[in-house]
Parts: sequence; structure tokens; C-alpha cells
Amino acid sequence: MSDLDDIDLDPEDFKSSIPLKKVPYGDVFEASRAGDVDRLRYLLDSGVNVNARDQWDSVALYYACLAGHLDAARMLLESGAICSEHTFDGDRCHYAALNLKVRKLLKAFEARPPPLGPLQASLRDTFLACKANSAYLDQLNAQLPTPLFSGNSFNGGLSSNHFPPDVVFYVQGRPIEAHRVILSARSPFFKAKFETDWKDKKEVRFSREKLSYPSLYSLIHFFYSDRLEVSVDDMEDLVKICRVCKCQSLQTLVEKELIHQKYAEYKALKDIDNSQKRFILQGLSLPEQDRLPAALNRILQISLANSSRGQNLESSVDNLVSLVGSMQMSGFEDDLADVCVRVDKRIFHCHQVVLASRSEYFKARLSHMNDFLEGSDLLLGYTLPCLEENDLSMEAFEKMIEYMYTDSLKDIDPDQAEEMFDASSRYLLFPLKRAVADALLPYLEMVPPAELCHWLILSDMYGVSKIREYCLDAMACNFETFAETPEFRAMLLTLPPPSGDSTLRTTAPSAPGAEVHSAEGNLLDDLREKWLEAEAAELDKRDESALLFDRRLEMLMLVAEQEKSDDDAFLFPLSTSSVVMQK
Amino acid sequence: MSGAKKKNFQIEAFKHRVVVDPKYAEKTWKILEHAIHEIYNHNASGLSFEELYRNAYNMVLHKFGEKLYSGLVSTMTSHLEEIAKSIEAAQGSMFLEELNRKWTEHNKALQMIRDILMYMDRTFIPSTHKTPIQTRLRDTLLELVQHERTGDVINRGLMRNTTKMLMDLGPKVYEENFEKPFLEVSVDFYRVESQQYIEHCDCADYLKKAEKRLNEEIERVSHYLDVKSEAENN
Repeated sequence: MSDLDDIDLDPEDFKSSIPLKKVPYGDVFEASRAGDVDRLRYLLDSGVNVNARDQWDSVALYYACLAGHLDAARMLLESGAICSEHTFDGDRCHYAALNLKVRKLLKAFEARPPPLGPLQASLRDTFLACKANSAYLDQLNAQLPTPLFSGNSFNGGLSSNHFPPDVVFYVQGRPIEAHRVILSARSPFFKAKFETDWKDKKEVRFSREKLSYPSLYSLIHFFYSDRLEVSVDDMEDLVKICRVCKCQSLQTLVEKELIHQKYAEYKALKDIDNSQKRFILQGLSLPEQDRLPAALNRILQISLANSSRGQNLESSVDNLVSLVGSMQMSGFEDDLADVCVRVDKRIFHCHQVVLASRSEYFKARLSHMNDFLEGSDLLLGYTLPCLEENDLSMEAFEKMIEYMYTDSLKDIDPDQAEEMFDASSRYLLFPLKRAVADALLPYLEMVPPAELCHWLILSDMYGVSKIREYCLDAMACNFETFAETPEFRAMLLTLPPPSGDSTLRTTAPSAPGAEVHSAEGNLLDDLREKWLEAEAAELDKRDESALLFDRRLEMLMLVAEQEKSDDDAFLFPLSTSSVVMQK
Repeated sequence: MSGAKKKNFQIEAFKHRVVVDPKYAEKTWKILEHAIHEIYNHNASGLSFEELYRNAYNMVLHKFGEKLYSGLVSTMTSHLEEIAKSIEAAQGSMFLEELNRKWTEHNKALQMIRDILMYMDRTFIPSTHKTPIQTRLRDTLLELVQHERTGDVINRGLMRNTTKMLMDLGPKVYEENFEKPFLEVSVDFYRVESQQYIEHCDCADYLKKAEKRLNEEIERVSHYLDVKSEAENN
């Protein structure tokens, strides 16, 4: 093959002992073919579509498999490259795999659930937690020799995972359960229908024989998960449905693929009959405004605009009612909100399915509406159920729902970070915690030591391991700088003393991934560990180094103790003396 | 929550400032304990989910998780003892019905409590609760199966629920408390019966009878036993 000749002839290869060619300006295909993982990572991070095909009809994964670059293939797979058998691209990758190791890798990823963003994954779970939907999927899985998804796991957690649908479609007598807001967000057709004909319907029956159940199912599944999976035979029906639903960009892509499939016969393996052939499309292949986060963002913006704000809430109920009335007048139906959340002085219009899918707290809360006090908590003249959240500012809540709807977090103010940590732990939104931490890290590089102490305490409290690690690292590496900072010494006093447990105090470095890491323990113990990593002498002298650290810490604490009593005496000379007198 | 105030960083980072009150944990736990009692007495409609959850969250956040957990265990234990007493009091076949009713109630209450304490559940300990089971339950179940084998009609729905309850407590509990003894009893029963048949009937008749029994058994299993037992039973 001429490709291989290319590599051999490259002058760099002759000079370098590293056998791999570097392609600093190559595209994703070249990088995959050359196994240049640095370039590949850069390209993937910059948002290139992993499942795009080049002019030879090949995807990047195909080249990586063909050339046997395991690391590159793995990177592609982790970024969502499709490798399922019975798809055009997947088949070719399996077929082209250089050796058994590559095939094994492909197999391993095939069995995995598709890599989806937190938003897509949680909405997909909600969709599949609906009984009718999971039943169909199970049936599909039973037909195919290899399991498509870990679909069976949904059966077990059905009751806990379940969030009831608000509309059921019957196509050819079979049900699909769905949520209005998701469909409306993704398709102008559904939006219009839900505002008019289907406004109060819980059940919609399609009587047209032509409409195929599998096609509609795959489209609605796509609406939730940004991932289309359809058998090739159903693609023509899908194009028709897309046209009706006004899903322009998806329709174009599927049409293009249809043409492709027509001529693809000779390129694919022959031993599979057509009914099993599938086509998989990741949302990444669509223009950004047609993906799930953008669609939900539009809904969110309308809802936010409708969310009332003002001092009215404080004054009288009459005022509030009139306000609500006026809002209803000005077409607040637009946002399809089905729940209100009252935070601070603002009422937010939200959608139960989004809140429940993203946060188990809200799922539990919404499902217990009738069991607890809140069930009766309807606002006068207000048609929507209303929740109330305390101890949270409306700014933080707005940021939080922005994240819940779109998976993105724009300009977080460091001042806000603490509250966001609080909100994300309280509402069990653990991905949000990581997102805030990521946004915060660049800021931390510039803060003075005193402030870093503050962040350490915070991150320990809220369990933000990334920030916690960062702070501990910074402290261990610049221990003397911190030792001179009064805030650091004061912090030492507020922390629980290092554990006296001798098993924990061993100076031998722990194996990576050992349990010490999983259970975040005592802050000072961890700091000691870090310090030993950074400063300590060779292995046989670690005990001495540790002793040194312990002594240094003890001394600092004494200083802190002294400072504290000095401070107290200075700040509250009267109060201390009064205590003495009382005694 | 103004920016200017926040710029002035304090080492004492606690936003909710609960630590100022040394009796905080005690007070909060009292509220939660009261709530648990109310839930068991079917009075939950007077409680605010948001407030209870927030209280539990704050307790765990401020390192009172251990207190919350041990408090929960002792409260639950006393409730379960109460329930067990009232079940014990029921007689005969009423026993299973009472058990079933109490179990449903208990499940519902537990679900509500779990949701309130969800934060603790997720972050503090992923361990689950264990409920005491009476050996009496097992004996009654086996007795019922015996009755049916000898031709009596029993309430199969009830059986289904009870076995499901055992399954809910974990496959291990189910296995140890019901499946093993059930299989043992079954083996005994059929050994005796097949002996009788062999003595009394000719070969064809014996096979016919055996087949009938086998079908009966499969049907029984599908009605109220867990799928897993099916394979092991026959």
C-alpha cells in the first residue's frame, strides 16, 4: 500500500528512533493513520467530528485500525467513534483491523454504552426508563446476536429510575412514551401540535399504516440522546418522518447516508442480511444549533424570560396573582413549563423531565409531590405546581438550571463558585461540581496563599477532589511560603489533628489506586503524604523526612495557638476578662 | 451575598454558619426523627420535603453524618420491632396478609425516608439497611406450598409478594431463607411420592403422573417463585 511507503520514506523516520510519524498539520485521518496521538488529541479537543468520512469513504477509526495504532483507536473510540458491527463504518473497522488486539479493542467498545455527555445520557436514561420504550429495546436486543446496549440494566432499576411520561404515541398499535418538552424542543412540528391539536391529549394514536414504528422510535430516541440508531431498511421512512417533523439537518444527513448505502454494497461485508444493517449517527455530526443542548437552551431562554422577577412576591398576594395573570395573557404557554421553582424572590419556569433527569433530588421531590406538604403548595390562580427552594440565591439557581439544560457553564465568577459547589452537592449534580472546578482552576493559579487555604477547606467540605488536590499540591511544593502565612497557620488549628492511626501513617508510598486515594481522609494526613512525595529523601530515609514534617507541623501549630490567643486578647479584651470574672 | 463582602476571605468558610450553634446537630436530628415518626404514622403530608432534605444535607455536610446514621438505625430498629410485634400477633393465614400489608407500608415509608436522606445515601455510606426476618415466615411459606401440593388452594398473589419481599432484601437472603429449605422439602416430598407410585403403578402410568407433577411444579414456580429457583427446582 502506498500509505505505508509514505511512512517509510519520511526523512524524519530515519532520524528518529521513534517509529511513529508525526503529522503536525495533518487532519484527523492522517493523524489516525500515522498514530500521532498528540495531534489527534488536539484535533479531538478542538471538536472535530470523529465519525466524519474522508473522500475515500473512510472514517478516522478505520485508519487507526488498519494501521494497528491501538492508542489512537482507543482515543477515537473514547471520543464516540462508532464501531458497532452491522454498521457500514463499524464493519469496515472490524474487517480492516490489523491484528486481534485491535479487534478485541473494538469488541470491548461495542459492548459499552455509547459515550454520551451527561445531559444526553441522563435524558436517554429517562426515555428508556419508560416501560414501553425499554420493552421495545429489549425485543431488539433479543433479536440481535450481540447486545446493543446494556439495556437490561434498566429493567432492574425501573422503579427508581422511572419518571412518568406525559404523552404516549401509538403507532401500528405499539406505544412510545415521551415528554412534550423534549419533542417540542427538537421539532417545530411537535411544538405546533402540542400547542394546538394535542394540547390536552395524553395519548396520540397514529392511524396511518405507512408510519413505521421503528423509524419513529429511533427519531424520538434521537431527540433524547442526540444519537440516532436506525436499521438501514427504516431509513427511507425516517427521511419522511424528518420532513414532517421539520428536522432539516437530520433529514439531509440521513438522505445523504441513504445514497451512500445504495452504493456501499460492494464496500461492506456480504454475509449480513439487510435487516440487521444499521446506521448510527452521533449528534456531533449535526450543526451545533441542531444538537440537544442548543435545543434545550432555546427552551430555557424562553422559560427564563417568562420567569417572573420582582418585589411583588414580597408585598401582597393580590399583586402576585395579577402578575401571574398578566403573564398568562402574554403567552406564557410558549415554554411548555410544567413546574415552577421559587428561589429567593424569583419564580422560575422549569420542566419536570429535565430537572428529574438531571438530579435525583428533583426526581424524588417531584414524585413525592402528593406525599409531602408541598403537594398543597399551589399558588393562587396559578396552574402550575410550585416548589420552593431555600438557602440558595437566584443567581446560583439560574446558573444551575443553565447547566442542567445545556451541560455548559458560562463565565463562573469565583465568588459564585462556593455557592455552586453547595448547590451541586445538595442537588446531587456531581458533573456540575467538576465543571465548576474546571472553570475555577485557572483562577486559582493566581490567588495568594491565604485564599488558597480558603479553597482547600471548601473543596474538602464539598468533596471537590480536583481543587483539593490542586491546593494540597501547591501547599506541599511551597510549604515554607505557606508556613509564613498566618492564614495557613490559623487553618491548621481548625483542622482535625492528623490521625494517630499507625496503619495510615506508614511512610511507604502507597500503590497507585490504593484505597488511600478512594477514601479522602484527614486533610493534614494527605498534606503530609503530598509533602513526602515532593520533598522527602529516598525511600529508606522517608521515615526521617516524615518525622521532620511532623515536627514542623507541630511547631507551626504552636505558633498558631500563640497567635490566636494574642488575637483574642487583642480583639476581645473585655469579653475574656468578663469570662475570668464569671469563673 | 455581595461581592465586596465575599472578597474578604475568611478561614471560617461555613456558609450556613450552623457550627456557631453547638446544639445544631441535636436539634436537626430531633426534627428529622420527628419526621420519620410522622412518616410511619402516615402523616407525611404535614412535612416539607425540601426542609427535611436540606436539614439532612447540612448535617452530613458539617460532618454529623455519623450521628445521623446511627440515629436513623436506632429509630428504624424501634419501628421495625413495633411492626414485628403487630405481625406476630396475627394468626394463621392472616399472618401472611398482615405481613404483606405491613411490608407494603414499610416499603413506602422507607422510600420516603430514603429520599429525604438521599444525600447521606450517596455520599456518606452506600451501605444498605438490613431488616430482621422471622424464621416463622419461612415455615409458613413452606407449609403453604405443601398444602398446595396436596391439593389445597392458596392465595398465589400473596405468595408472589412475599417471595418478592425476600428477593428485595437481597438474593442472598432469599436463597438462605426460602430457596434452600424449599428445595429440600420438595426433594423429600417427591421422593416419597415417587416411591408410592413405583410401588402401585405400571411404567407408563408412572411416567404420566410424573409429567403431570412436573408441569404443576413449573406452573407453581412461575407463579410465585423467583425465576432463579425454577431451574434449580426440577
